[in-house]
Amino acid sequence: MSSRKKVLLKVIILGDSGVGKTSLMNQYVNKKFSASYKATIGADFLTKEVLVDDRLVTMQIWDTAGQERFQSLGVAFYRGADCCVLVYDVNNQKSFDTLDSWRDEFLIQASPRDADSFPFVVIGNKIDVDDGKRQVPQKRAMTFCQSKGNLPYFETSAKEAINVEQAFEVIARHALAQEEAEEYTGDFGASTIVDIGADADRDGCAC
Amino acid sequence: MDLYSKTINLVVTPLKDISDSVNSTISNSAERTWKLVKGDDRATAESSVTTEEGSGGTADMAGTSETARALATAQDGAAGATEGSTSEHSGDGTDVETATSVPNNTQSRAEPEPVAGTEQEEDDSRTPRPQSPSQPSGVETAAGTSGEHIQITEDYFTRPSHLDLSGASTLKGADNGMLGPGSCPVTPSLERLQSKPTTALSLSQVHANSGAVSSGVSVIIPYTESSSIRSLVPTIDSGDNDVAGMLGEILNEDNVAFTAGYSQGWALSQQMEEEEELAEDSDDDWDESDNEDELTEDERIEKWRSRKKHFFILSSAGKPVYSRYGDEAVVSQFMGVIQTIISFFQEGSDPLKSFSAGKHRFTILQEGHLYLVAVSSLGETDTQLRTQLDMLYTQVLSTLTLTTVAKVFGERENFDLRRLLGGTEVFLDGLSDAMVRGEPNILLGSLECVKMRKHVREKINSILLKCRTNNLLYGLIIADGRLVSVIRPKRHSLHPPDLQLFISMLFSASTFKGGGEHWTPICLPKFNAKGFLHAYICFFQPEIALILISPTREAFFEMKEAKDNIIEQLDRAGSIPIIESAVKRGRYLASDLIEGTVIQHFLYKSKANVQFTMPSFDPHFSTQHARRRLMILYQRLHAAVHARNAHLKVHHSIRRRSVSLAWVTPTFELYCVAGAGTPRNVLAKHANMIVGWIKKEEERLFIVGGATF
Repeated sequence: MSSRKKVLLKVIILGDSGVGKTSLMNQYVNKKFSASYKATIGADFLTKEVLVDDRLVTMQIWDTAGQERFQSLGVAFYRGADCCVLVYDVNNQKSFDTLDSWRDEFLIQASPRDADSFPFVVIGNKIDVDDGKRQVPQKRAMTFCQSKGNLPYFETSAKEAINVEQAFEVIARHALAQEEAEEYTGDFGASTIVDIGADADRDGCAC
Repeated sequence: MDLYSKTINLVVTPLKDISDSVNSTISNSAERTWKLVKGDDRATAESSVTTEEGSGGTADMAGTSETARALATAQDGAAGATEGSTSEHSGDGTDVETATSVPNNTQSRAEPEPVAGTEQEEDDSRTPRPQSPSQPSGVETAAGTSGEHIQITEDYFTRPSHLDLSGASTLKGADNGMLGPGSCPVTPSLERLQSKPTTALSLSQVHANSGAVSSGVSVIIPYTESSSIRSLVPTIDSGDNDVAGMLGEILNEDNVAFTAGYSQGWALSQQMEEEEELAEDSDDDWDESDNEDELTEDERIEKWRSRKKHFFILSSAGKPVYSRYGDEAVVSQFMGVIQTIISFFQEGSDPLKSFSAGKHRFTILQEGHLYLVAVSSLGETDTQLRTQLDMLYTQVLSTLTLTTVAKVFGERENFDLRRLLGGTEVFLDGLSDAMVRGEPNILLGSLECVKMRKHVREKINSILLKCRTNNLLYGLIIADGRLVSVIRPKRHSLHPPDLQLFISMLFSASTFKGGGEHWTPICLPKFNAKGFLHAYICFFQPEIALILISPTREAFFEMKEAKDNIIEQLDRAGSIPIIESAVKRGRYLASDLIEGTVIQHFLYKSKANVQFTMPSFDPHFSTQHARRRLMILYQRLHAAVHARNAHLKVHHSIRRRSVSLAWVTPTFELYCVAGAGTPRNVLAKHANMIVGWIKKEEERLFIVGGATF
């Protein structure tokens, strides 16, 4: 059943404003990078088809606005996601510190069935900026990811297209695994029995 | 959120105000920017940001945004109200629409009186009559007493600014002399008033090229570039124009002299009808071919955007479930946008039901974890669109049952429902196409029967009854999409939507056609949405199917045997050739009923039987094209007499190409269409004759009572 149809995966990208969520998405989908900063208002959507182990899947990427004032979009927004990508800027300590609250926010809003196994992927972006400005050492980021249940971690540069492709491949893989976690069994048994005797005539529409 | 509904609906009592405001609004629309106010701080914050960004990133996908005028309303509750009161003066225009508002009680006997009344009134328009449509006082009273809400839709504001005033005089000349300064029976106005009732006021020039500040939803179908929600969330700006001010502006619009506005209105409305017809005429938009292979990506998207009507089904997570057109890449972005717009309004118990952008009406039906969305530029009302969405939802349930849908989404919100629906898209396609084309059965919510002699039908019924077996629930013979015979248990009725669905599945897809036997689980949601019944389907003649429905999964052989018996007996009784020839003959012609009738086509719905009858589309509407125009006209007539709170019983509409009449009584609905220039009294007379004929032929045209066991 699973190989019959292309799977659609909903991927949500979260993180503080200015960490490069939109740039990562654009680099990945359109292979483009723009140096000018344009805040995302509300949410952006992009779609990309990828091959994961010979399976064609469609990634429906939901890019969100980092600004706090848009977070109210979240309530219904996060629901039914297959993977959540947490992005921070390696040159910005605060954006790293808030990762945890982004993760909590997501878990509360999306309330996935099994919060512990829900796939998150962490991305430290902007590694192209020169080393002197780096505020979050790789080690600290790795430690954080490990403490949250061994989250996959990538350091990327949307500008230089470093590691972006790889990160999204892992994202797609995890999302697919999540989507297929509990394959619907096709159990129609429960709904097949119609007791016509008990079903009283409900109205008088006569044909 | 409440504020929307309160503010959006303008309450206008005197008729004059309506036309004044409409006219003046038209002339002033270009410079004006009005905004919706929502009593919600958060929303306000968002919208103001939108304003700043309005001309930025959205421009690249702004194909439609220049013209997109936005309006949003979370409520269609008051919508219907408009239609009743405005239909009298709203004809699309061109011309004259009159309506007689007759209280129910005088009508209880149904039939001819009201129409006769209309005739008289016309003949004798100088005598004051309280209900005469040609009396200004009459009209004002009608509008006044029903105290309706007038809702302004954005369409007013998309009128071209170059008014062709010369059109006014020609039009006046052509209006049957019913118009005079003193008698203004009809206020020129715009049909949008009746056909697109729900409304909001968001009249801004929307961003993009104008660079102007934007407010409102510019619904731009996203493509190629990332689509940003910024342009899609209905924007609310608490700017300096608060709603009260804005309404005041409409109501107190500096008085364009009534008469001046009047002729201007005529010119405009004529132009509108022409435009509308042009739009209807452009055949390329109607191209339904699915052959998109040789098109480039951009061409495909362009084509997708140019469709006149879209149906979408998505999950509450924003994952696509079904779309009539477009490949997944195009559709899945759009689904995200739609999901976000819907969820934006979801807090509280005031869900988004519909909104408009430019010429497109977006109507949303939320059913549990499924969102169904219709996007149409054909001018249907929300109610009509919602009925169509409900048909699609019913189709989904008939494949999966409500139990299954609730279960899979209850367990996993990210479920991709396409996996379970796989293979049945062809039925959804068939249904969608029928609804794009416009089908009388869906419009009227009723079924059509094959016309045949009473004793022939009774014979068929009795054979079905005689051959029925223990596990049979329903037995049906359906020919060419029309009912021949139905048998059912006394305590179970068969619901029209279930049957419509069934008929659509049988006849719009090739799955079941072409002989052979089929045994398929099917849920008839209006009968019982929770479980499956099992249907034995056999096309024993190319266009004639026998359907035996059983609640028992194991009843295949039992049904098969019953079918063999039935066919044998039908054969012996000579019924099969009769059905065949009835199918071959097609529907009767309107001119068969009344020789040389002016009526080119009509729909007659018998309310008690939940069935309708109509003549052949030939000779006047034999092309696809003409049929579509006819169906759009019917849909408008239907909207006019079905507006909530409409007290309209007779609705007479004169347009450039046709004259039509809608007539509603407690027992039937009649819609008929005659050629342009047909005098009202002649049309009314022939309508009466049709009603008389149908009464006489009732037992041949309809299945009355039905065979029960």
